[in-house]
Amino acid sequence: MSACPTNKDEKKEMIKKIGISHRNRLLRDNSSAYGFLSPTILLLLFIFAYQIINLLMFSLVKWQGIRPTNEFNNFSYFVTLFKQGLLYGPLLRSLALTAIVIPVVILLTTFLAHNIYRKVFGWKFYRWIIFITSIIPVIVASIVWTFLLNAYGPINNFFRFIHLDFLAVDWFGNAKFAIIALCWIIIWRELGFSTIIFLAQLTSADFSVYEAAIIDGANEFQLIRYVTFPALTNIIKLYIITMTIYVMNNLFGVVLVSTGGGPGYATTVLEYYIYYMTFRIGKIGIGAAVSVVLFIITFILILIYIRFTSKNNKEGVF
Amino acid sequence: MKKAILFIMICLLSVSMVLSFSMVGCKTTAASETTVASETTAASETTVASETTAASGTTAAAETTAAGGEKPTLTFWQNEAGSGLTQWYKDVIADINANENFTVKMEENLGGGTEVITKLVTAGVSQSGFDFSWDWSGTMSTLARGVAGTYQPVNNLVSSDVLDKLSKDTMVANTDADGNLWGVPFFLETVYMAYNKSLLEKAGVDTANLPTSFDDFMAMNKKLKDAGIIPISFANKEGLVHEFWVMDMMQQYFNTAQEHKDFWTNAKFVDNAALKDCMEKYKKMYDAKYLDPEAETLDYASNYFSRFSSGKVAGVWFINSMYVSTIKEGEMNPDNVIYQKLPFFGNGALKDAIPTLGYCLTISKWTKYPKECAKAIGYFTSEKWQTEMALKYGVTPAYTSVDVSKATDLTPNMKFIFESGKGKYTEMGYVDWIAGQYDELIRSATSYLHGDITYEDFAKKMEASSKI
Repeated sequence: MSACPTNKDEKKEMIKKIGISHRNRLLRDNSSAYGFLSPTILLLLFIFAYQIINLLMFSLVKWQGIRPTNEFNNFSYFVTLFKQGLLYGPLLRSLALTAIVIPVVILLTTFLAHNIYRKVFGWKFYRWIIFITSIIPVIVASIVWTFLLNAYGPINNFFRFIHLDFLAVDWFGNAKFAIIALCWIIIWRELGFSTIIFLAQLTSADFSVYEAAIIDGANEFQLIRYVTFPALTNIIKLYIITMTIYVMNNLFGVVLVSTGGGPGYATTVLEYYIYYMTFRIGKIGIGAAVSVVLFIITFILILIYIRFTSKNNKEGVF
Repeated sequence: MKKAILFIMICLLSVSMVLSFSMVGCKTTAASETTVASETTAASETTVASETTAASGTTAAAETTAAGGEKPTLTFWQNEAGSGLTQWYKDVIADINANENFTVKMEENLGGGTEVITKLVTAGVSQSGFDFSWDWSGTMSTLARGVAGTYQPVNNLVSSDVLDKLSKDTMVANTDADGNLWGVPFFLETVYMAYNKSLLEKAGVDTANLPTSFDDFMAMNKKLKDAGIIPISFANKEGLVHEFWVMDMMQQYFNTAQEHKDFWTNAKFVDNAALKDCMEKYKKMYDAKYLDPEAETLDYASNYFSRFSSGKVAGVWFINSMYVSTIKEGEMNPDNVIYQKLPFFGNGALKDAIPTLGYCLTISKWTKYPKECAKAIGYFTSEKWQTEMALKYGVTPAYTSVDVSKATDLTPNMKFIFESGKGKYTEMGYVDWIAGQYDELIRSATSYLHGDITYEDFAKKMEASSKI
């Protein structure tokens, strides 16, 4: 073959050879990288992929008490979940928590990040004190708030002391208020970390926009609405997805310590329901089926997140 | 070259980590199986001469130690906290170790109900962990775990001479439909009302004539409340108190244990007048704030008994095994505590019976020493140790013929139990609980008391839970 191909066939052959050699070169250059990565990948595959496959199998075999059999259950546990409506309550509660927590956190965080960015008086102190909430372990936070919000705890006693008895509510003993109390614990804990993230995003924004707006006579609320919010749009979108994943998957400790899923079932969210069905009721197959449903929901959210970040050419913030 | 060596080292390290992960959860007895293989064979060759005599604990069978082998060690899981029986267990084990050709090593798992159940379930799944264990009697516990493969039947291991002297109802609760007995009862949890005498007297209640009807009981609680005293302990965070006020109370509406058992098994609650009456009475007490309103969201383990022993509440639905920790160690004056059988919800023949929940000893399915385990269980259920349990520790024995006539140091609670409860125990584990029913009860009863659901909703949920 000549160095400069003159016809189509020769051109095709040359491209093919270049392609193969390019691929070979890539493989050769990266072989040591793949080699060094492979043990970690194997380990991760074992810890995650193997367990997920195990979980799928647990939901598809019949269980005899605490022991799995080798018999396929014809999806009976999934049928039971949907036919008896076992899933709807916990799922709705998880979604309700998400629907309450995320907008409140975003609003509060934007407000806090804006004021710290604008360096209000004492901004360094605020930045420090807000972040402390995120380094307190979630169990500690749950125990403390359970005590503070007790029907006869310090907060309610204070309300009674100042003759505002109508505010002295049994937060964890009342089904209507228990979910709000749970939301509060999550919000309180999440404010710190999300404020820092939003603040970091604001710091990289163009300050001249603020200057221009101030010159045009914008007040602080107008600055938040027309400058800060637009600057944080991308991060808010990412945050919604990651917080949804977090709320759906990371509340077990909070629920277990603060309410135990009660009163009644008022705070039995999806994740807690898995524990409840598996370890309290002893229906391991049904617990596994609920886990699979939660896995599918989380997987879809992660796909949305990946699609969103790749669309925006970002590698992800969290 | 250097890269290649580094790569190989990292691969070897990762493979060994993966292999070590794989080994986790495998039978932990694997190593012990190989080391005690010779002892196992030797021990089984020198079989027990007489299980009857050995089981009574009065005469130790003169066993020759396995030739050339060490004494096998049996692991006993002691999973019960609060009864103050720790020294009793140790004394029994010392007796076994001194007289038998095996040793028993006790491991205490005192973390609480959920933790104990998790440990037992995990042991059953991994088929390792203990040789014989403590467990709750009944269809939800010993029977369920036995059928699921954690335990082995004891019918052919523990002699009938031993079993005949123990609580029959509790053994029925541990027997499956095929006649397999999965656990040997060794003490009974009895429940009754306990009152702080001085608080009652402060409210003007005649402590010599405690109420005998529901209306009188409510009147007494009103007097206490009017005197500024919280009448009855509650601690409803987990809803476990509903077990007392519903599960145990319901027996009062029936004449026989079979009727009571059938009620729960048949699971027809919506049109059931007895259950409705029970729930309405319970709600009356709750609405009147006779059930400690300050403890609505407090957890049971830390608060239910401690609020009684600290004098914050006047009365408590009491569990007998908590006598030591609540009254003795809670520094209450034992003479300041008076007892009474259940408050009076129903009028069936069983209203005079004291509800019990038996605790039993079970033998693991995987143990290499089932006969030795049976022998050890024989010591725990012997007349000698059962009598000591009753007289010295204030705990109700499963041995039905404990002679207390000559006892001079019976604790007040045991005097009450022997005088008022003798021959009149009912076994709660006898009830064919479906696990879903129990958990549904402790949750839905809270919703009902709060007024979030009606009785019909509560009953429908209970019926639905029986079908999961």
